[in-house]
Amino acid sequence: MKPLKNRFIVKFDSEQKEYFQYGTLKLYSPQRGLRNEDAKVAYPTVAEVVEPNGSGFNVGDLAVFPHTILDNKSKYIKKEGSIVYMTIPFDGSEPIFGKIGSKGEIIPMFNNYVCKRMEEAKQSNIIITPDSYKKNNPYKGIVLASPPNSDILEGTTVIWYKHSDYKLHYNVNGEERETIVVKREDIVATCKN
Amino acid sequence: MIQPLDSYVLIKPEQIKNEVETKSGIIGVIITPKINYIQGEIIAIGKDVDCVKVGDIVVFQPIHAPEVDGYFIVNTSENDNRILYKKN
Repeated sequence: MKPLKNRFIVKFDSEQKEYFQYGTLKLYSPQRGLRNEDAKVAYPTVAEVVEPNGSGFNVGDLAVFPHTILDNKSKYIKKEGSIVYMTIPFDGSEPIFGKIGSKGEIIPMFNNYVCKRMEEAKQSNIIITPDSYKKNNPYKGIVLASPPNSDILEGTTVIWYKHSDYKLHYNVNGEERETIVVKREDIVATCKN
Repeated sequence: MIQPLDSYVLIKPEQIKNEVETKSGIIGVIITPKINYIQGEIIAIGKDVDCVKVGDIVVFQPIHAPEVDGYFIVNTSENDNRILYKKN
């Protein structure tokens, strides 16, 4: 089984709806009741890479991408019981976030950056704002992890387009995780103090 | 200090003030609201910018452009068409 140019092959268990089990790592899908109306939250899913084909993945890596990609049955190659093999393009036509690290963290790839949002500067020293009312700066953040060969290093303060910072909400071994991911084309400047 | 990336430029907008004298003699200041086009000076440029240089006065569209600390970060690529023309 050889994928065509700019595509890699993954496999996943089509019967695993609630969670994906890979060795000791168990990734749950978020419960429907936990989902809110925040349009900036994405619920990713994972699949095991079988044929990397120069994508940057290694065989056995867990690729992270939106769950809608797995629903595209036209990309299915074959089915062995409940295990489905399918191709995914990595030329930018599909939003692939990266891969899952050994501790359940997301390692960004394909021009995605893992970032941390920054709080808005204090307006007043007299009024103490409760934590629940603190707002994030819509434009600024700090890069926590960069993709390979990136020109923006970890720890850099960056400025991005408003609403381009997506929160990935997932669950590793029963623990809720949240990661902010920003695409390279949405980052417009760096900030130096 | 903000350093724009790629084809982006950092612009310091000019604030246009109109002084108005009221009946009581008090001079009020009307600051023009954010409008479709703003004039400003280019403070810094990204590495891929070749159509403008630092110090140029340009007229640009500020809509959707990130505004940080009173400065705008605007894309100069032809696909975006944010910068309409330069004055000098």
